[in-house]
Amino acid sequence: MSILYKLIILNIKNTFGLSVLRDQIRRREKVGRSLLMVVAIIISIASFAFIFANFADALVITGSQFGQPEIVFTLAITVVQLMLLILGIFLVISSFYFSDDLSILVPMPLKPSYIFAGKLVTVIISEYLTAIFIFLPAIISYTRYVGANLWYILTLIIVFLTMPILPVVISSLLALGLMKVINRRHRDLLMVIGSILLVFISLGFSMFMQTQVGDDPGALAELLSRRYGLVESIGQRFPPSIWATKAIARAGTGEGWLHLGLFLAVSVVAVLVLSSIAERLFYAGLIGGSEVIRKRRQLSQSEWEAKTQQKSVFSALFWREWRLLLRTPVFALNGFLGALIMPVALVMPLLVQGGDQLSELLALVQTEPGSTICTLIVAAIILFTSSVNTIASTSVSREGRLFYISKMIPVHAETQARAKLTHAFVGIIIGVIPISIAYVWLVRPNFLDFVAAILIGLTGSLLGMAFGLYIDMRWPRLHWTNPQQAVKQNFNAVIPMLLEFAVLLASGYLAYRLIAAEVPAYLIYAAFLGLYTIPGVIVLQFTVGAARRLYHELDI
Amino acid sequence: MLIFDQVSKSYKKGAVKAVDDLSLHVRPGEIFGFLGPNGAGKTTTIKMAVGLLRADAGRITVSGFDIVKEPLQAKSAIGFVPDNPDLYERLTGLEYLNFIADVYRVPADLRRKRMERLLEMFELTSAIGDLVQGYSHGMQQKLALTGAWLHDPNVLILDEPMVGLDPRSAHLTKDLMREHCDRGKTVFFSTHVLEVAEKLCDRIGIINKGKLIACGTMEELRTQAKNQESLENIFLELTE
Repeated sequence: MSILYKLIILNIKNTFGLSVLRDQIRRREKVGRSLLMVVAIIISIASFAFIFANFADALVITGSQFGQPEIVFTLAITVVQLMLLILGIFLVISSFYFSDDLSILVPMPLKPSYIFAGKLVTVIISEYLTAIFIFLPAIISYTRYVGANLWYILTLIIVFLTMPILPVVISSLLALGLMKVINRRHRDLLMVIGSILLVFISLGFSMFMQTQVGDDPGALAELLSRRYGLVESIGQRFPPSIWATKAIARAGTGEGWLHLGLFLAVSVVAVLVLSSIAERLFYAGLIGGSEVIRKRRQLSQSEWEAKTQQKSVFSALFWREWRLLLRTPVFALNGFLGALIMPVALVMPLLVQGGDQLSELLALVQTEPGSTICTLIVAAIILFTSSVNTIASTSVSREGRLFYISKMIPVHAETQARAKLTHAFVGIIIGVIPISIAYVWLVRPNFLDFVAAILIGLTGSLLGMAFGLYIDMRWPRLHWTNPQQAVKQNFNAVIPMLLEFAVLLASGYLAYRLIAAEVPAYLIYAAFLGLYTIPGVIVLQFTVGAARRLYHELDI
Repeated sequence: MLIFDQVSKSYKKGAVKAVDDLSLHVRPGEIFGFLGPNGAGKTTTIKMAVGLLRADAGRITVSGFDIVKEPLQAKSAIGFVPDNPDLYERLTGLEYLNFIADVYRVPADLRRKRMERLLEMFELTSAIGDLVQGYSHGMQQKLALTGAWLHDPNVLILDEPMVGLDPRSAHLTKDLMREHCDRGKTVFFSTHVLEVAEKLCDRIGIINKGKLIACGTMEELRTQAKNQESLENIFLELTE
């Protein structure tokens, strides 16, 4: 047991850089920077909590009218668990199979399930940050309306700490299965395809989980009048969220303890099942996974000449970025995840809901202000898709310990920054293509609206991208042991994402005011282009400054 | 060719002096061996020379260019191999070499000629189309050395270049270093293999606790260290 405990502590220290942090604090190095980061993160979480809190408040008030304010917890827990299930797959695969320390741990006389458990705990801890965004507003709203006592607080803490376990266990089981069956020869490619498939399976699963209350007024009235009627309706296909809700709502009572016990028991059983499966399957998918089959093929003369042509410095840098991104599964998946999911998420509900709603929508967007609203919504979708794209905001961090190569080569900092920006912009364009196709196919916009939607979306994306690159150039995370730490567990990727969400919200409010004031469409479009372009140009200047400092001054 | 002028570097806000007032002039046509115990300041010195670290004080010039004030010109004159040959594992060997040749602006015909020779010499030709990920440690070291030689730099800076090389490749590397210097260029390298330093170097510098405690030809070092015969004895005596 003590070995397992030590392994878990080691993994936590290694993954979250705790020893480095302690050393920095002890040496009083970079303390100001770390504090600034913490303040930025707290502000970001607080602003999001505020936005979600409005929604949570509305839920609590509505729920209270039917004596069911706890519905906010059922919804929050269900949403958190589904989100962690869908997004957790990549984190799980990269932590379990792509960590550098595995080559040290595997030869040691340790049980596979111990090594697995060490990684599992760090994955679960990482997921708390995602969970808190949604769960915290629910807690605040509910506590404000209903009040709190000691048992309630204790139950809340237990539920919060247990919440990520089930989705992470399911993701882990899927990952163990996938990595066991993957063929060695095309492992990276199959891993990317397999992971995407798993995400779509999880998406399908989440759609299955979304239950319909139905149109029958009698059934609806019955749900509203029955104690926990709404809670049970929302959580009927995922009972643990009902148990957790009842544990919180009835904290300190027998019913509360019973449901808390059920919630904990299911999580414990899930971990035990996973642990026994991991003992048998973990090494089967892991050992030899990093081995590469060498082709050892002599290049023909024509191949040799074609492959040794001289390219410009910019082109060499651009293609290096591109190859490394595409060939590192964790980077490729994180880079393009949003681009893959967004169009599907956009088109699927419309297709599922059928032709009537689609034709209603089409009729609506043919008239003013429907077409302007639709144009701005498409621009917002592009902006949202690019905001979850981390290519720019992890551009330097992804280089990790190989950053010394970028620093030793005789290339202008501006050229290096330009290559990274161009690469990230191409990544965004790739995400825009399926959105544009879906837009034209579903809405059939006129030329002006189409161009406006794309341009506004792209200029907004450029602003976010430049900001992301600026952050990563100022504070690159170069010391990582698992590629996931460079992309997903990297605050550099989170901060620009939050900024872009804030820009989106502010833009939404501005659009609402402009449309309400009946400003002509072309003026609204011009206003947004200007609003995104001017700060974009300013941020780009800062990015170039950060690049000079990074390539010429930073000690590594 | 490579000049360190009163260079200092400290860590932990001055608490640890990694390099202390180092002055050294490595001349054209010279193989200079840089020796010292673990943690003596060898890698810090090398990192400052190639622009990975900035000196707290002093000046480093490479081929006449200040590494801080004229970094691009200075870096163009350097070929560098770090102590651990970390290379882009997801590129093929050929893609890596082409990347290096492109950023150092080596014309196509010249890069082909140099690559063919070096790859043949290091027996990497048949593996060059494979991902670096599949290379052994020694193969990665040979690829890093090939990359460092590709633009025929005025100054080669090599941190422990023989580590991981088989005897044949180590011998070839020593020949290449000598040949490079015979053409009037400079090699500055660190090593723990005292035999190599003794046989190969025109001059040797010994650094200990950040200070250059001895510098000169083998003869000059023998005089400094009370006529000790072998470099090993000289080293042990000076770094005691």
